[in-house]
Amino acid sequence: MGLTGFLTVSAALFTLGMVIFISRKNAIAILMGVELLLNAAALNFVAFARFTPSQASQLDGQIFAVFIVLLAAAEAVVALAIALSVYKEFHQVRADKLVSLKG
Amino acid sequence: MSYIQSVIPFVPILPLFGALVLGLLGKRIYTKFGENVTGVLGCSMPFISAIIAATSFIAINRLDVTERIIRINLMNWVTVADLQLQWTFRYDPLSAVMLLIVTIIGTLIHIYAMGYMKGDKSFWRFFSYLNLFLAAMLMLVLGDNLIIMFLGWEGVGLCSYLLIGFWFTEEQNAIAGKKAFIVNRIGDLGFLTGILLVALFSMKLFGSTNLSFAEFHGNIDVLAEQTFWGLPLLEVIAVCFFIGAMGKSAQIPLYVWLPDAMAGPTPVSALIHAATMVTAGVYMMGRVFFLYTWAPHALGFISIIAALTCFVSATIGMAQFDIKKVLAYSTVSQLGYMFLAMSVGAFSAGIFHLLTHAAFKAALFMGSGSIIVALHHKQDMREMGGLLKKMPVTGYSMIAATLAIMGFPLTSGFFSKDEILWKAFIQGSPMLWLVGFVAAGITSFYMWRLVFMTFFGETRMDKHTWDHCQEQPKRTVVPIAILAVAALTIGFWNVPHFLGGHSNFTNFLDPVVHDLSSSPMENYRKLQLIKEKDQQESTAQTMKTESGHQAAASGHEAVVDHTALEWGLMIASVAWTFFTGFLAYIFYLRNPKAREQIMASALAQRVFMVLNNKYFVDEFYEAVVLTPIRKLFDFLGAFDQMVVDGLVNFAGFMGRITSSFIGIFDNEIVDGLVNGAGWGAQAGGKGASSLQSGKIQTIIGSSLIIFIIIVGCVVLFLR
Repeated sequence: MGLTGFLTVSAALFTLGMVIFISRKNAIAILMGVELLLNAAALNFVAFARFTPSQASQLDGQIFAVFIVLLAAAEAVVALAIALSVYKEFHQVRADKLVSLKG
Repeated sequence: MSYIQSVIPFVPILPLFGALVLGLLGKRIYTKFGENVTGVLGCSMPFISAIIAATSFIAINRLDVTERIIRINLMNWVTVADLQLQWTFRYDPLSAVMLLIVTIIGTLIHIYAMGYMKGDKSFWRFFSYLNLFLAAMLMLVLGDNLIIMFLGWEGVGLCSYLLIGFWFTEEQNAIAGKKAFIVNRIGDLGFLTGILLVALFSMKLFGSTNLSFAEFHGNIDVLAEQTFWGLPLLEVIAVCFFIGAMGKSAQIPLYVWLPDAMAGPTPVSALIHAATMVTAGVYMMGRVFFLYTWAPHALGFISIIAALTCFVSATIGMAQFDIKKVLAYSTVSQLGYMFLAMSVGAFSAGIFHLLTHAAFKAALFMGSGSIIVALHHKQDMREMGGLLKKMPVTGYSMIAATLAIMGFPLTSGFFSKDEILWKAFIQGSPMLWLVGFVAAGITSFYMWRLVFMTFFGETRMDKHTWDHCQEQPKRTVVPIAILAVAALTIGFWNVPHFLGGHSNFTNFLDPVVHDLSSSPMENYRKLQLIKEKDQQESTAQTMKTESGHQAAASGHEAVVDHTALEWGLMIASVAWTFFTGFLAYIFYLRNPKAREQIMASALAQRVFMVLNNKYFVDEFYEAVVLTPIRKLFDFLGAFDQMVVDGLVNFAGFMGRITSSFIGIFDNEIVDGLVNGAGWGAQAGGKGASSLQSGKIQTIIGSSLIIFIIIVGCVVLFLR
């Protein structure tokens, strides 16, 4: 199995996440889409790290992946907190109805 | 620093200070403390000045004759290239005498004015102006150079204007003020031209100048060689200076302002228009007498003007009924005497007449003012009479002053006027003497006419005025009495030799003013001879002093015994004045019918009308000077309306047309551009704002699309 397989899976994951991000109306679902995007990126890092010819920095990609997981956790915490606050304020979390930022 | 040097600068400064204080704070002082405090404040400054003047006079008399010219340099004023003006005061016998006159008479009149102006609502303003006048006059007298003198000269002109028009709510007074100011300006122009000529030639010849009298005197024989437009320079300057003097000292043809100046309050008439300001011209001529010794033709011209003035105004004085107008014309006539003396080279006689005249004319004016107040501002002598019983102090003082002005033996006018007439005869011509002689008789006539009409005979007043009129308070009559005493006695200062005196006054002035010992023309020839001789003898002795010339000019005079002639002329003029005085007595007191008989004839009527209307001089000016000027103004006005306004209107019209074009361009194109830009921005903004829908997914979607486009572009076109 070469790099292409990993990249294909990653691209599929990214596209899936993007579609969810754009098309779903529920804020929680959008957050899930975001998780998919992050994981697609992390998969890319790991794959590129595995197939990089240089031996000097073999773990760079893995470290990035770890940071991305960490970041995803943090992001989930904050985003869910925002979602809860939004719910408290507006009694719903539907993204297409929350338009108070309209210019 | 001697005593004189340390105190003299205060003489003009104190009244100036008083003027400032009263001018700025006077109203407050007046309303808070009342009339007396304001008046005392106004009087105090001249009083201190008078004390300084008197003590300095004593001090200068103790000095040696050669040390009697004291110059007090206060500071530099203008130092520009070759013009080095300084604030310098000059105290010498001439300014000492003038200081005495100005400060002492000034103080007396201030005190008098406290009574006269009682109850006037502008009491403080009056005293402020009077103080300012004194400051200006003292500066004129003390100035060491022509410019400071001119400063004072203008200052007194200004104060004269302010004081003549003091009751400016009546238009007639305001007009009289303006007339005085404008006529004086004409004279001032002459004076200024003279000063500028002096400055011009001094700078040209000597590199730098400070315009001081000493420098002018020292340079006079160099200046005498110069010509200006083909005329001898000194003659031109002398005439220019005299034109200035004509305006200030009311000589024909610029005397017209002085009788009108009687519109002012009487203290003003007494102070300015009799005793001090009008004598400025005489003083100035005395100050630059050395100029006139070099200008015999100018002196000839002056003698004609002076004799004419003396005679004409005396005749006008005979036919006036307003008591102040009589005195005004008398003043003009007496000023004519002073200039007559000046014009024949008897400078000290002119100054001495100035002194005596100041005393008796101030007394006469103050007396008339006292009468005017007592009669509730009636000035017509036809409505007076018999006042001696009611107002004894005023009456006897005025009679004393009248004796002085007519030249009653041993009064002041006797000495001064006879001296002038004598000099006019011996150094001028018998014609000049005759004019002066006749005018002396006329003077005696109109003065006694005034006295008889006012103080003697039956009263012609209505009963109410008669019952209410009474002697004025002490502060009014005491100054009059003091001046009357002075008018009687002051003449003994200058008793001539042939009467057993020593001409003390002439000797006192000698360090600064030398009389000519012969007629101006002869003296001039002598000066020229001496100069030529000097030039031949040595070029090394260039440091010649003018006084040396003078001494030489007077020293070689063959002494001729004129005593008999002097006595004869004196007796003649005394007899003549007695005779005309007696005529006045007959016509106005003893036998009025005789007067009426004479006046009934047509010729007498006509003469009277001409005199009463002042020879129609005002009408003459109106016709010859004012009407053409008004026509010129009308023409200029029409020109202005037609041509200048036409041009302006045309320019305006053109401007309107171009601006309407510009307006269209502006509306359509410039505004179009601006509006277009605005519209474009609005439309763009609307389009862009639809992006900000607030829907997060739209934003993400659109940014994704844009991102894809950019990446697509980069991949497709940039690689």
